[in-house]
Amino acid sequence: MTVTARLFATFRDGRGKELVMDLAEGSTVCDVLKLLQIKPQDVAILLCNGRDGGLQNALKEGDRISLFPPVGGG
Amino acid sequence: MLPRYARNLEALSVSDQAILAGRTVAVVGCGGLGGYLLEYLGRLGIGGLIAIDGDCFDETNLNRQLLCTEADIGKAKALVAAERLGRVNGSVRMTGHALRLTELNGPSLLAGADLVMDACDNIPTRRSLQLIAARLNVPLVHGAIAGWYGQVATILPGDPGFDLIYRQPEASSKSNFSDASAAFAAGLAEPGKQGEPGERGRGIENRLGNLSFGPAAVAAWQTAEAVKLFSGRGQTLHGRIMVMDFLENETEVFSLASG
Repeated sequence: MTVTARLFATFRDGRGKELVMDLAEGSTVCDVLKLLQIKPQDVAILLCNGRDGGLQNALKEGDRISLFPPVGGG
Repeated sequence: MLPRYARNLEALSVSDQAILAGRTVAVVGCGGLGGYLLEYLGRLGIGGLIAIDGDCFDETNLNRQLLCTEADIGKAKALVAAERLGRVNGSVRMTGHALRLTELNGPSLLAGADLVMDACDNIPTRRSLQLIAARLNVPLVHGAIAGWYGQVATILPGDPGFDLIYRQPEASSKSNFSDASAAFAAGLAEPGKQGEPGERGRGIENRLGNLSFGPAAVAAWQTAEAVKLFSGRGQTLHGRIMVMDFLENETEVFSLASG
């Protein structure tokens, strides 16, 4: 199945802005993070199809994941 | 209408201006964001300002913090803020508290505020601020910066807000998170030490630092949110977050809906 990962801020470094990924059926958000070499604890906002998502969410064809690192300065 | 507000019209009406004059805004943090927020709100004609920060200025603040001049190194940020606002707009009811906001002192420090501005420099204080603002039943306008990036959101009482903006690792037997993260999720660890995204309650600004234009741009958008919330004009970022990428000239608004 094909899933799109949209990356923001420093997650784009060395990875790009938008990645179309071909994944095995039953793959989860956690699997996408592993492929992208992003640690789960480094993800501050995680959206699956525009809604708050979980790491164990099972993905399906056409899903869009958006990943943001923590921006916390003042 | 005082001449000093003549250039606010027609973008604001006389009645909008009167509403602003009757409102008090608390600005939590008087560093990069807080300095610009106080300046913008004071010049705009907000009637009362409460400035809260327990830190003193140091040389590393000079690259971006509007309130910090070379003569201010070592001075309490909140007190410098109060002194400057007195010169910018003497009609503002200005209070400076040289204290670090906690869940304990927060309700009394923020008492009387109609709206709270997040100008904090760490995630655990933001979580406390959301709890206190909800308890006081006032809106919280979030702003944060890191290097070339910034974000703004409006959080109303009862919203998930920072639970979605700074998600914490999930406790699950299936997950491969560290024991520390699982302990935090189970309520066993102290917030801000483990279990926060990023490192020790900070975000990517720990590595990227902050540039001079980041706080100015984000504080400008936060101030516009305050005016919209008070006047009912336009569209606020309630339930949404706007992320800014100054490198790529991108701004995008995302809904912050629970899954």
